[in-house]
Amino acid sequence: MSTVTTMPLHDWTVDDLDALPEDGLRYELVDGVLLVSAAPSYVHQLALTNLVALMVTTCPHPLQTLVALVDVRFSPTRQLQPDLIVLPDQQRGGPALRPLPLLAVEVLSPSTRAVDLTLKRHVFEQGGIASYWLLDPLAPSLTVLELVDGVYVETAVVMGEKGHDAVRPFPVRVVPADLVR
Amino acid sequence: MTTATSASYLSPPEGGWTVDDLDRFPDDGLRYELVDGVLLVSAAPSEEHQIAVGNLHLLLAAGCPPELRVFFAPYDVRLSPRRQLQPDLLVLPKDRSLPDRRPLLVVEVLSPSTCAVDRTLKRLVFQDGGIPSYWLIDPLLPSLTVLELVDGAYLEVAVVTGEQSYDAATPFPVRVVPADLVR
Repeated sequence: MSTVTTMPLHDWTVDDLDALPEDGLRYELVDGVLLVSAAPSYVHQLALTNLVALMVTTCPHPLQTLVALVDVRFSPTRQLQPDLIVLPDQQRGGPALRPLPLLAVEVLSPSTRAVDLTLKRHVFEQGGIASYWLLDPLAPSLTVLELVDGVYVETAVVMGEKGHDAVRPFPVRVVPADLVR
Repeated sequence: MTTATSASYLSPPEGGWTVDDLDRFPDDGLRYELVDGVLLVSAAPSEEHQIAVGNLHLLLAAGCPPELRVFFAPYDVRLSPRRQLQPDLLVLPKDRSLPDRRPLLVVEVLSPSTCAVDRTLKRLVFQDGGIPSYWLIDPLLPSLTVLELVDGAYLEVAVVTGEQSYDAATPFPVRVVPADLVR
């Protein structure tokens, strides 16, 4: 297939991302740097599917649990697509304002692990996302980061059959081993 | 203004991109880098950025011993089959036959668009790659931050701003004054 390939040479904005096709790739933007990642693996999707099922069935109204690909827009040049997000009461922000998530979750994969642990942590922290969970389906483990005075603090790391009793964004018990069965 | 349409080369092959795939990308003025399977695409840098890169290159080249060479971007630093970055400047042994030839120093000049990536993701990748020294220059302050590998982890050994100077010992002796780099 021959497509006309024109990539903008200036720093990208989220409007440039809107013009990209839905081709199964994940397109994200950090300050004008475009991040392109491929479709995730089986074990990644298994863990994500199980976590979504857990979160959706536990999520209290009016909070909303959504699964990727959902754009989280921090600024005109920052937009990420976390694997899972929990949004606050949509009514509160009004129709024009897209509220930022209370929780962002990334399921680690060999290809995105470095980005998830460093760059995304930084962007979520600066963006004021109260909770950032990193789920490693291979360990399996869950790492919980929570904002304290604007900085992420690692409040829990649980492995295997050990459970994490989350308080934020809503009470839910997460057992890493259950998520990869 | 150009519009963003999908570029056919952006479609990754089965199993994800490798550094060899990057060689097929067009020479279009964009910076293409790969961290594991994630492709990073960034635009051409600003004038302030290029002034600092140019000045630092002159300074390093003047002090560089004969067995080393100073390169500036684009120069692909291949750290694994799935990791390839293009630092703004690097110092490399001239001897191409060295079994483990890798930069002794990499430098990133920060810009508003690459600052977050340079401070977080690239720091991890250069650290994992065993690059002994990583310098970050902020041309707007101006400042120099020096990271050096100690037991496999980067340690911030110096931060100097403005007219303050930093006397580097590695990869070779050179005095860096941030304010001089942006003149």
